[in-house]
Amino acid sequence: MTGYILRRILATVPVVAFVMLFVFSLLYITPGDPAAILAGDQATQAEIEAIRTDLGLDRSFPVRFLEWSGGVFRGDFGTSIFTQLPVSTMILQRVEPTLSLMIVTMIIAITVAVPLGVLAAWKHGSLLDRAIMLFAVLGFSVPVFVIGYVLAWTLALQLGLLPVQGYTPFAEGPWPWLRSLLLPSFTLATFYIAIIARITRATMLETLQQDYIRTARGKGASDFAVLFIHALRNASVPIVTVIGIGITLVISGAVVIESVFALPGLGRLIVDSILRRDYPVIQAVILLFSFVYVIINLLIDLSYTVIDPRIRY
Amino acid sequence: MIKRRTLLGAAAASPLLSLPAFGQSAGSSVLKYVPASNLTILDPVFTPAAVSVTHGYCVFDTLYGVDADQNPQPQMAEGHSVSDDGLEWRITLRDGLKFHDGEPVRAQDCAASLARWAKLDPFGQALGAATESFGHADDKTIVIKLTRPFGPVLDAIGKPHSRPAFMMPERLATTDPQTQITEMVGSGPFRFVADEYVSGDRVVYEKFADYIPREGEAEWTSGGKQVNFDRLEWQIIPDDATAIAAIQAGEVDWLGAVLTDLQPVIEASPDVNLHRTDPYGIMHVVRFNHLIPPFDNVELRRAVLKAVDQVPFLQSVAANPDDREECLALFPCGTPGVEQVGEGIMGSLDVEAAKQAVMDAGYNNEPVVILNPTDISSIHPHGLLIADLLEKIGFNVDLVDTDWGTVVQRRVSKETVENGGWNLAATNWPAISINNPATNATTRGLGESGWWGWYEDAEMEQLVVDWLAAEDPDTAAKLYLDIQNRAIDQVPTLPLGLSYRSGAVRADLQGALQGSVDMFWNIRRG
Repeated sequence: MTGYILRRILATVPVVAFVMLFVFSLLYITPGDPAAILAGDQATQAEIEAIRTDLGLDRSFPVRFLEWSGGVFRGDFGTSIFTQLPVSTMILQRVEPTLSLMIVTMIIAITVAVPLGVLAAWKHGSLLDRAIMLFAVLGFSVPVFVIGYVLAWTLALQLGLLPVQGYTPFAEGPWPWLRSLLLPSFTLATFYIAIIARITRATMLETLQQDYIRTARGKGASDFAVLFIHALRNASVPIVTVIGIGITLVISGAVVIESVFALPGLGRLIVDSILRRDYPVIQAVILLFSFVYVIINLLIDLSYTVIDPRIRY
Repeated sequence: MIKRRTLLGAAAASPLLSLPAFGQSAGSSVLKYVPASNLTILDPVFTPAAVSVTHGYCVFDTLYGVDADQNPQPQMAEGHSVSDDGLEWRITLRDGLKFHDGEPVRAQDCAASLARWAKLDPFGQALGAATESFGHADDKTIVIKLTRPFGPVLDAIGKPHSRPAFMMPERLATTDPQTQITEMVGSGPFRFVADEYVSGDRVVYEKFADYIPREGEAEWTSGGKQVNFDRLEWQIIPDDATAIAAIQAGEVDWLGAVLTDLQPVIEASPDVNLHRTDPYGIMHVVRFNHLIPPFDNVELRRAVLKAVDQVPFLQSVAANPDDREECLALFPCGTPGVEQVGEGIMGSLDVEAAKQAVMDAGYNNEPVVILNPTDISSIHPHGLLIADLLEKIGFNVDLVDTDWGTVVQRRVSKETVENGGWNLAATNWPAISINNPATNATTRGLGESGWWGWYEDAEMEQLVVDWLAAEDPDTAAKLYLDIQNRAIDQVPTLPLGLSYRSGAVRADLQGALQGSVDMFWNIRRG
């Protein structure tokens, strides 16, 4: 097990290195000149060239890549071209809202979706099952920003229950923090509730056909025990996989949700940075996201061995 | 669906969730503002961006401001004197002015600030070209020594928009002009709270206790800047609909801009009023590339000008007729001295005649590349409309739909279109930033050292130099008219008219001023 974990961790090194090279190359060939954007509409060519030189954008690809990657290994992601703030500072300012959104969204999604999926499987073919699956289809089909606007209009504007927008840091209290996250998290969670509920239902249906379930029922186990103790654990591997992938997908969902609800997270940071070609910020955030993807995939793999001891590496 | 209703029901039933929105709990001494765009560049002299100018007026002050008629008025200055030959200007500072770090404002600080500004701003560059030195006689007296007469000295150093001449401490003002200043120490009515600044989310200012407002009513950037709030918080809300909802819910007090499509929502809301900050509006233009065919040919430019009808262009960015105005001139109508010199020349709407004029001008069916940013709502429709117009009158159009970042990069290319160049690109300018011959980049004839499009016109430049040197108002006015006529004759840029943008202010706020940007003095609650 330890050897497996070490091998998996070491395997992430070339992945991250490749991502670094890929991201840097991609931005190098992407059209768009931060110096021209920075200089503004009135700028002359000479002013733009002066800014380009000042920013070091006139240097060659290898020089810039080596400088940047060397900085990354020292923990220095450079300075934002536009704000002149250290990129690490900008990222640290943005991590908490995105992480909070991710946690609350997934908690809502899991606590709602798994029981719904189990319920749908248990009442397979019933009106309840069809209603849950209809909800799942809607969750897939309706864009999150539409759901966001509807929820904001209803819960915030009409009922005045929740703030329309903005983020309150956890340091200002758990309740204000949670309150600022409920609307965006509910919105984002609808998609994950749909996908997790469908997978849970499908795997539970398969599991409920197994001999040991029939045996458990024959021994007089209650429905609750059959469903949540015997069946759910054995159906968990695909569910955990979907949840893990879902966590990584929350990052992309955050791009939209953070804009709609004005959360100052990493999703908005990367969109803003791409639009103005703030290369150091884009590179650092993509690198961070890639790292998160790698870690989550690692954790998913490791969780299999815990959930199902038959899985050995 | 059932579950969602259940969820909503549960939410509504929860007593905890029925607490008032947390955004309302900050207290009445806080003014919450949503700027039209994110504040990314703090140095308001480095960039002409409107949001940086707005921020600049919070932190910094100017020697002269302007009133509603755009006349310069003393602001940090007590007054000034001019030598008999007009070549030496002495500006005296008011007593008691302080920077936010507690240091007194000295003439040395102002001289250094003027010198840096004069290297970056077009009006400043014109003044700088006629200046021997920006110096000082003592701590309170700034001395500007000119090498030749320069009439609009006070107009230049009091310009309200696009790089106003903000005063900074000498240690900051000596920064290289191509390097941004990030330490925000000014002598303006608000102190920048650096610890709370998160680019893309919030900007915070506190009332500067040692600020001494001028006497008199505040008007544009002049007069008594009385601050009635202890704290000013900017919150960046990228989504327009969310921003509208936030002001309706009372979570914010003031929106810098409301999309034309969303104005009816504000008009229907009893708690929020529309507020038009800038009465001079925004001037929309399409710029020709003068370096390469076909628009290096003035006859072709004239043919297009003749065919342009501004109405559809303006309708595409301003739904309400009150929010748009035709302006048949290359200088913004409504600003002092501007006349509609394009009347009888523009907007014939005669497609066949325009087609014939294009052929007569010697058009060889070269592809015409139009750069069109799809992510800028105030520019994108103009790319589509100009492409349609040019196709109708016989041009071989290649409309390049792309993002703003790509447009601004490609726009500075001087290559042929086959090698990544371009022929036409739309943009817009705050009218007040191009309201005179020196600052109007769209008409300046500086060639390759000028604004993109690189229009070169020695005669135009001579007229500008003469206008800058004119010492009596009548001569200046005549020269200004000559410049306007020259511009409409040579068509360096296509004028598309003016639009007016409104913001929104909560109804319990009084005293929001007009200006080229939103200003946070004079306004009060109740």
